Amino acid sequence: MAYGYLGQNTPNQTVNNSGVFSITDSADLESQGALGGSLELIEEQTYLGAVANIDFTSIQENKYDVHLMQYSNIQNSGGASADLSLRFYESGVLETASVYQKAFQYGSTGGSFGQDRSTSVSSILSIAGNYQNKEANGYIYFYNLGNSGKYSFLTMQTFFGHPTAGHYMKFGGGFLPQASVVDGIRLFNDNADNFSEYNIKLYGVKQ
Amino acid sequence: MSNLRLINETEVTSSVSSVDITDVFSADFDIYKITAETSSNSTSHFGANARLINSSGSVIPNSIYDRALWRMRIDTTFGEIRFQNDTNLESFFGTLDLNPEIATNVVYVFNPFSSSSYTFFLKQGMSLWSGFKASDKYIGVAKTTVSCTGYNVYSSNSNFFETGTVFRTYGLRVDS
Repeated sequence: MAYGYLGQNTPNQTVNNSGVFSITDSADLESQGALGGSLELIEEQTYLGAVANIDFTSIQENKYDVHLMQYSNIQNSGGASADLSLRFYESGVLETASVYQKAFQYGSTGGSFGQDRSTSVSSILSIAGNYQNKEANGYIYFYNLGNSGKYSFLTMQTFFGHPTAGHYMKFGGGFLPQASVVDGIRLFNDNADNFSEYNIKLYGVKQ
Repeated sequence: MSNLRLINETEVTSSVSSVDITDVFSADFDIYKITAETSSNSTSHFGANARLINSSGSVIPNSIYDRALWRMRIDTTFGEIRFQNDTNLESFFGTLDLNPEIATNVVYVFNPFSSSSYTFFLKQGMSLWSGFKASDKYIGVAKTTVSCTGYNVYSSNSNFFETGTVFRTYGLRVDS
């Protein structure tokens, strides 16, 4: 079914939805999830006051099998470098055991490169140095969070400041090797510092 | 509204060793994004290799594919893998075997439809196979100016992709 297109050369899309729409077209397409782009904002969290944990607990894991998280200007309030870390909620219960696995490459503007990997760690990410005025910015893709028959994966890329060692890039992936329903995501500082700035957006990638 | 436009979703529903995703690249977009998961019931691991499909619908199997990747193994030292003039982008959509040892990928493809430039690829993904676990950062190029409208993913050793394998192709729209 074509919707309200007035011209020619319709872009190649799953649903023919460019051009001018009637109110009916618009309502119909929106109900199908076919109107607009393919990144759908699930939740945005912005700093409103000091918190130690940032939880996303309504991630619509039943609707999306790929999620994208974009984070910017993450800073902590402590006097030392903290590692920004990430854990999953499985059916509402935060997984804190050393069951996560990860492999990341990092490199600094000062020329120091290295590996950050583990087969047994209690959180993923380990973005060091989200220090005051040394913010962390980046993105993470998540896969199969809501699938009870599959492991939960992530890949990410980031750039961040370090209190004493310039700035770093980091990329790689990790996973939770447990076939379970992940229905929440927690970001926190490994030294329990509060966050002093952040903006984080969680999107579903439309199927 | 984001500028991602879903062009095609191809999901494997029966055992197949090769998947063609056709009629996705066109003059409508220059840059494409693909999210892909590859899954299998095979007990022996295999690579999900990739090739381009030309506008006649034929796979381009020629020795035009160069690749370089940084393999970040969870269990051991990282390493580089690179190859020139191959007939495919080897394991571009990951290495896998028996589910839940699958591969997940985010891919960007640049200028596949162009008849005046090569096609370039960027990928980041994570694969599990035979107890190994690795995150890959992968770059590739198809050294051809043939206009391409799709891509082919095939098993490196004739093992089968199974249900759970899905490729979603998006165009990055530029709104003037």
